[in-house]
Amino acid sequence: MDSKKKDSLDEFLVFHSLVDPEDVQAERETLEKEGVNFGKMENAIKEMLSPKKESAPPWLAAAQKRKAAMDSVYNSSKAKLQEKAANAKDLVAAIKGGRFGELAQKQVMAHFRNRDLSSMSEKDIRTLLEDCDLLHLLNGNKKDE
Amino acid sequence: MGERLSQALELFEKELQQNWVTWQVGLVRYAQSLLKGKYLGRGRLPEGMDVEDVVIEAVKKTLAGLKTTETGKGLRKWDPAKCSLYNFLCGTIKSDISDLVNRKDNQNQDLPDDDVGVYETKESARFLDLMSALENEVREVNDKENVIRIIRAAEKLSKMTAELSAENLRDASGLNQQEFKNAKRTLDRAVQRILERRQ
Repeated sequence: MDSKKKDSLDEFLVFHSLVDPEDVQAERETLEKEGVNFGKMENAIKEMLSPKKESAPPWLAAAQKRKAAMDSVYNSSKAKLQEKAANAKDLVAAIKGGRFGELAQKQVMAHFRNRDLSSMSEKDIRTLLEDCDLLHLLNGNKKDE
Repeated sequence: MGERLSQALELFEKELQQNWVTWQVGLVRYAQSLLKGKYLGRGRLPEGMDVEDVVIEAVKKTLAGLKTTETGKGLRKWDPAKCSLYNFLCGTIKSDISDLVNRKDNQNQDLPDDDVGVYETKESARFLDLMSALENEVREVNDKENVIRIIRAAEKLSKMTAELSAENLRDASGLNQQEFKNAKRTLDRAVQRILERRQ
């Protein structure tokens, strides 16, 4: 006999156990009368097959709260920030255009060489004005105009 | 997790979701036939355990085996290329029941002397014994001839060491699908009666 083959009795009992889908309900009722608890098996299988919910890491709630607070601040001041940025760009564009004199124009051109004006921050402009003492130049030129 | 294991796990979940309603009835019937027929030992599970526990445990072990590449006690490695999931679960149930009913601490149950012996004979002899009992059991039924054809087919396949699957038995019996379906119902009832008597 082929040693790898299962024994015939076992195979026959597996064959015997196969229930035609049409007969499942009737067979189930018979077995339930014998005391078989199908609900117990169904619950266990349901539990095994349902995806386990990952518990949230402890830091997540605090991080979400912090982000919500920052979003709120940003949203409420967004309009003002955009206005400031637009004014700063206009100012630098005016200087570059020579409105405040040649010296100021050269300084700004040198400072912003190879830089994109649209990405300029308020801090950039403040640094520029302070470092180059442009405030003084601008004031002087304005007086000249 | 390896790709092969991951595919097997996906298939395992899909098959259980699709077939559990039918399979749970079959798996309970299989576990009961092993116990009622005392084919694996003294035919009793340890106190406090029932066939539902055995069936749930078999599914658990198979699922655990598919979630790790490790091997060990409590893990069963199902390979979809080697056998169907239903047959695999039956194999796990058989192995677990065998362990449980033959466990040393389960041996102190008092059983009449004539209970011992049925399971001690060789498996091939037990198969022939069941076939013979079946033939005797269906002498009076209406579709006796078709049932006998399935019994003969089972004996023939057994001699040829071919698998006694439903497809093979239907082919070997020469019955059409409906005849086979009806005859199997009659045969199943006869098997149940025999097992009840051997309980």
